Amino acid sequence: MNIVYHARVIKAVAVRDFKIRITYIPWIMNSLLQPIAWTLILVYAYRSIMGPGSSEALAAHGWAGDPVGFLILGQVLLSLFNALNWRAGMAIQRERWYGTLELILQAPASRIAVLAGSSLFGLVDAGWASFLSALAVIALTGATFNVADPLAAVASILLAAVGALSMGIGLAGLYVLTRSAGPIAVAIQHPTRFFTGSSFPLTILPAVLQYVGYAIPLTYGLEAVRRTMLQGAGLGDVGPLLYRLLLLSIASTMLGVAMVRWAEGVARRNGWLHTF
Amino acid sequence: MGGYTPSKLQVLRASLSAYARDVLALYSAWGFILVRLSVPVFMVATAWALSKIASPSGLVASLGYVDYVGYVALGFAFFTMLTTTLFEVGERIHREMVQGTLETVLLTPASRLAWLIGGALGSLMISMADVALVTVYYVTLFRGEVHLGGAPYALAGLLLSLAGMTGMGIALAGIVVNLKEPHAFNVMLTPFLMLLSGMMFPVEALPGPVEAVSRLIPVTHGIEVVRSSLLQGEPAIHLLGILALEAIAYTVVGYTVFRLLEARARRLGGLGSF
Repeated sequence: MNIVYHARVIKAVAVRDFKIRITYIPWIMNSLLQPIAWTLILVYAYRSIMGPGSSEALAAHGWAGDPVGFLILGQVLLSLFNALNWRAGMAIQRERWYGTLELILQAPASRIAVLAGSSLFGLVDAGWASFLSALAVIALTGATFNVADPLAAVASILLAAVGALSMGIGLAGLYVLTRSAGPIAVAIQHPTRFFTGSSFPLTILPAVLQYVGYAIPLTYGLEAVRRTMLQGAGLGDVGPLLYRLLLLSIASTMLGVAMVRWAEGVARRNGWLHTF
Repeated sequence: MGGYTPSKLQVLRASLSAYARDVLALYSAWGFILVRLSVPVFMVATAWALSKIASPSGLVASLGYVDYVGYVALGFAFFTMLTTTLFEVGERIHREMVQGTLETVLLTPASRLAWLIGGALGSLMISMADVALVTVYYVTLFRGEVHLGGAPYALAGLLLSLAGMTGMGIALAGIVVNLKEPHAFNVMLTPFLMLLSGMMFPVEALPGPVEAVSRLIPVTHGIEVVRSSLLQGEPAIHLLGILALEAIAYTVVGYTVFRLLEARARRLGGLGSF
């Protein structure tokens, strides 16, 4: 099978996911409105606990100035991860729910191409929703940003998205062999919010908990995006963060792909394909 | 009308029993237990992290709440309890739709109100376990303190809010019968209710008109009564009267809206489709 064949599989899966997506309008509205509400909750919580002109506590953790931009960027990238967790992570499980898993596995198509198609659509779908939500919150709160190196900012955003995607693929393997894939996908969002520092500077946490955070690709993505968009950092400043993010993303993707292959083998051998 | 007509109490008991069976089936998957146990931990832990950047000049502290962890823990626990009850009614109708039993249920000569309240009561019992869990986390992991002397007032505020939220839930159920997508609707509504209820911050922080809207939702006053009673030991007794009025108004309006929307769904022949 050549690369064109794989590309056609990826496109077919992405188009199919798009068609299913536009059937459920309330879920599209949900993707747009949820990040807005969550960001506003955090903005008002910050304003209520910090008081007027008292952002020194945040500055002491390396994030001086208005916390609104800090929160918007955290929520946007977290929403991106949440969406990809459902798209890429649940790609195999969703086929099981639709009753199409056996058909997909019997088709002469690469499983990885199927996963890639679902992930690609997830990235586009979550990307535009997160972007529009961020614009809405910026308009509502008047948040300002400080971008000195646009290239560094774009590179950070793209690599942060790759990091989120790699986490989704990494989780796909975990979800295949369990009847609890749906609830686990929900449960995983909360520790991710906490350990990546999407809602507060990670340095607030005790060192041992920070280590957990720095084992997650999204943490590096968040920090790089915040440094380039709020503090005017350049590529030289965030280079080490992006490098680690890339390494962790590659590891997470490889782990996910290996896990999906292993889980498929186990499920076939034991006749479990439709058990969960 | 001839034949057997069950009493409201019998319908309520049957509805509660059906709910219990649904819950048992749901929690046979361990992932649901994981969600139930882990989400409150991370919610309270996030409040703990935010409390590290809290200032004495902040609005929360100026209202007399010195412990932000307790502020969010109680807010989250009671918000979950009240909104789960709110959404259960709509979710129940959707479950019956998906199972293909809604038309049968609605055609039986049984009280709709008792049937809906039975499910809400079941949901209430489960969410009381959530409240206990959050309280245990707060007291053991974060060494929080609550004024148990304020518990009777907190309970009164909670019961009145529950009545109001059940009324709102019944109205939402009528919308679900026509909209068919309750889960998306509930997932979308939850963060907005969090925003308006003051779960993580005092509603005084919201812009004037938004604050006014937030005060029309029973959960807002309910959380305020619970917090003032259990964290400050000075119950906001004046809010109990408002909560009682809201409870009556929402129950009457909710049931009327449900009957109207149910009649619409029957007229259009859409009861069993989703």
